[in-house]
Amino acid sequence: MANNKDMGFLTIKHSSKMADILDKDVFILPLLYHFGIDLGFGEASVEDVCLKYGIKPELFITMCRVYALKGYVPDCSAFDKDDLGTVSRYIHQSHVYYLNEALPELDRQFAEVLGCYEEVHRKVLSKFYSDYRTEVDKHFEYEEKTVLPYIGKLLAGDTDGAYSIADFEDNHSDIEENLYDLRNIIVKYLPGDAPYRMRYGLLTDIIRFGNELDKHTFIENRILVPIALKIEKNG
Amino acid sequence: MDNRQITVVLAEPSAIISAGFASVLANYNTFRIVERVSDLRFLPDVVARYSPEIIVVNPVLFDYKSKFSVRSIVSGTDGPALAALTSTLYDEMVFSQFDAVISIYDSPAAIIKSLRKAVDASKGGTSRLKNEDYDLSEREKEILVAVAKGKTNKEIADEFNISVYTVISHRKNISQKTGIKSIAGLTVYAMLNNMIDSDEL
Repeated sequence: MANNKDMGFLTIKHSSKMADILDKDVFILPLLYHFGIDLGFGEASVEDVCLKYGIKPELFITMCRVYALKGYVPDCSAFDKDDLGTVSRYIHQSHVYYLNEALPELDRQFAEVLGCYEEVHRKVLSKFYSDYRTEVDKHFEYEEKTVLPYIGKLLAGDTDGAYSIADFEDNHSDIEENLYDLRNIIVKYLPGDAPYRMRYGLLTDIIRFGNELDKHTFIENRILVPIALKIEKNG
Repeated sequence: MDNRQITVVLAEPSAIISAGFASVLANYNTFRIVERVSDLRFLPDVVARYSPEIIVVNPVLFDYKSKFSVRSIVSGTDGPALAALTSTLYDEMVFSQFDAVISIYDSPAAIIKSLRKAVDASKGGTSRLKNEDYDLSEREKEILVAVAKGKTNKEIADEFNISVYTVISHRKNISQKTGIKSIAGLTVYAMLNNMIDSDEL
């Protein structure tokens, strides 16, 4: 009846083995990666690993659920400043990964695919993609230059009241739409000039990146913002 | 206001959930539960007898590991809408068979909204299978080209002698059929399908 994976994730305990959790759903791998959690943790429990990396287990488990369970709504009422710091760290590391690894790789693949098309198609697709990239860069830059430093100040109790996390919520633009459009274009409308394998490769990576970005954005909106709001209110 | 009631059949094995769901719907005149079944065996008969517009089913009644498809219960191209009523989370694969997914933890307002959406989505039921609802109509193609060229809704409305609301409605349909939402994306679509020349941009 209920999916085994769901029940597994809903009943993770601090004493659960980290390796077992990965076994249940390999999709949480990026989460571990962004936290810098090195593989080779043997039989270590969630609690052990979290302790080693300065993450509180409840937060970690919640974030695992966000990654693994569609439609999961996290309860952030018990999270505190330490947790906010941890989430902030995760967000920053994700950005580093996107900007230094994921996106350059997508750039490369896209350029390779585009190289197979005639100039007319190439120009239009190239513009579409580069416009998207510009928007993505702006989005991440805003978070890195404005939001995360603000969180740092909030945690130090050093805010000047000019900016609030609510402003972030308002400005949090939707970069997912264009990526989804690109995905549909490749699936439905892109002619077969580029080799089969290449188009499938690009599509797979776009889908994977899109899914990752979804989780990242969800965590920003449903974990980072609520905790920050709470701290803004109560100090 | 539409005074016609939307007929509902509920397939739910739990007496508690069944009563609860009926009670929520009772507060909204739009929906009327014509029959409740607790076992799938009775469903085909009930559906044949009442021709409900929407069937609400708890997926727990199906062993989804088998290839049993929810839609096999409901035959015919203009069949009723199918909504899942669930207390837990399932695979995408299970939910994809439904027109709407309702959680028992949803608010009454959200439940009604989902039901309405499901009914609307399945309306003109035959069009689910006909190409006219997948391919763009001539008019939609014209609008798409105008959008790709960067025209505003108002400009398009003037050009085609229609209201801005109609333009927006066309654009929604275009996005739904093509799966493309952004103007930039539609421009690419238009180019790839030779609907537009590069110098027209």
